[in-house]
Amino acid sequence: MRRPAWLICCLASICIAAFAQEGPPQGGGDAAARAAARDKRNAADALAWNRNPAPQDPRDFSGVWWTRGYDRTFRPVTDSPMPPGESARLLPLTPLEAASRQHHLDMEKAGTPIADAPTQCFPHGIPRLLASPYPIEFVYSPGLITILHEVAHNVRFIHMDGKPVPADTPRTFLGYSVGHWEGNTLVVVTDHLNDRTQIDEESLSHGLQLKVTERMTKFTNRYGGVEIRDLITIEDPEHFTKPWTAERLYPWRGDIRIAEYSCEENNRNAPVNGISVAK
Amino acid sequence: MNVRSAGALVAAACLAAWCASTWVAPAIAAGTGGDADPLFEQPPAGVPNFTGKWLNAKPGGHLLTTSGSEPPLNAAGRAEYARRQAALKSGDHKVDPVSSCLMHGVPRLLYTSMPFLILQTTRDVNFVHEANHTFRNIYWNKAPGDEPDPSYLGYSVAHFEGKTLVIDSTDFNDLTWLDYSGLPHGEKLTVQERYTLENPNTIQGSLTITDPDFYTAPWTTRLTFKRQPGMALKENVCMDTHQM
Repeated sequence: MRRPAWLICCLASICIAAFAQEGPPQGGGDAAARAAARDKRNAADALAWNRNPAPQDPRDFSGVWWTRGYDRTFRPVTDSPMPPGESARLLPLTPLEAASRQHHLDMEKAGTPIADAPTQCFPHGIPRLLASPYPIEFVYSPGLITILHEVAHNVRFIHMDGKPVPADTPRTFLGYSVGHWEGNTLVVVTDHLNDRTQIDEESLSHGLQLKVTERMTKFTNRYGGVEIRDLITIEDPEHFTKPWTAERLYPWRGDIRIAEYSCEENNRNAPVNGISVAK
Repeated sequence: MNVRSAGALVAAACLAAWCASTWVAPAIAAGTGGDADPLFEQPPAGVPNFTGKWLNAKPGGHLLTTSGSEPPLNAAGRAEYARRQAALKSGDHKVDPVSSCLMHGVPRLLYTSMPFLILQTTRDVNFVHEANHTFRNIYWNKAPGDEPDPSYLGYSVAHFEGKTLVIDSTDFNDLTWLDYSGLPHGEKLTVQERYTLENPNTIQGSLTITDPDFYTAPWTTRLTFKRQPGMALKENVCMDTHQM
């Protein structure tokens, strides 16, 4: 069994090019009928996905969650919905990042996109990993929340033991994450990130000063489905003139388990032992 | 800033698609289930909890049976093992799949010199290894509808027999080595792991290997894990290390 074909399609470069074109949603058609169809689909999804219910405790995220769809971008959230093209204009880019972003967009348009960390089977980085369109599982143990990501077997450790970040902590792809509870919101601060990953898949970069603060809250949507809302605040004064916040939603998936994903298998991009395995 | 050279070999998107073609995913049981939904069973109450940070007391090396003898390789097994041993002795380490950063497989993953977490919950039991951030996500029952789908780490199901944690694994691909010396296996491999908490800081384990393609009979080996409270799991990225 494999993940649905649409997901594979979305990962293919042709589809990515289509996604990359920012613009307002297409008009026309019967909006009310589309909304009704969406409601019906969401209600059916919630029923199927609650097959094994999410834990009742609002602080217990144990189990599998899977973000809907596939979004290659992180964008600032606003109080009102707006087309992607509009939210992109709200990105508080420094001149450095404006030039860097344009370079990314230009390279992709030219058909020579910049290969970022996951291309070489390195961990995706934070926050990039948070947009991955694959299931994740929260595992609770004393003083630690572990998040297993299906994609390329990324593993995140959220340290909940109240201890400060160890002095000798190195910079890594996924950084060092410390969490605490504010009410029923899990607040996770991640730093000690290296500068070899991107903010998002499309175009946004970061430097060594990146700090990511996540605020994760479990809620029940209007279809009876359970979701985690993750509000992701990105701070990096080299790349952004002020902190900004993106959002990801992770619906509960009581109907699936995560699967084995070997990025390294058939990886033609990265040389191994100095020898390229590319054909 | 981290804008890197445009000299990347292949487009990121192409690799994503490439990786996508390699996934395996468990089958999803259809329907919303009845009164008794078997997708997620729980272990019995009162079983020991193996959660913690552990390290194999004797990592690497070559597996022997519990009596200290060589594993009962058949003719095909002896030939393949000899081929690998010869390659390693000649300095050809590429013959080892782990040198290409492929997953270690089972039981070899239990023999790395890096620590690992066991995270045991009522939902599942996870082995999260520092070694190339590889994890095994093992449930207490087989999901209804799951079909054989060969993978590096196999399809594992856990249960308790008294105070012994038992993990049965099947559905392996044949791309991994059983141990660091190159013991072979085929896709018919099954591995049974049996773990007991000898004391709070020691797990005694036994592994029973069954593989009619390369062995004349099932055989068993023993291993010991020691708790490592002071050891932190580091970020270990095989692909990165190999390029340094």
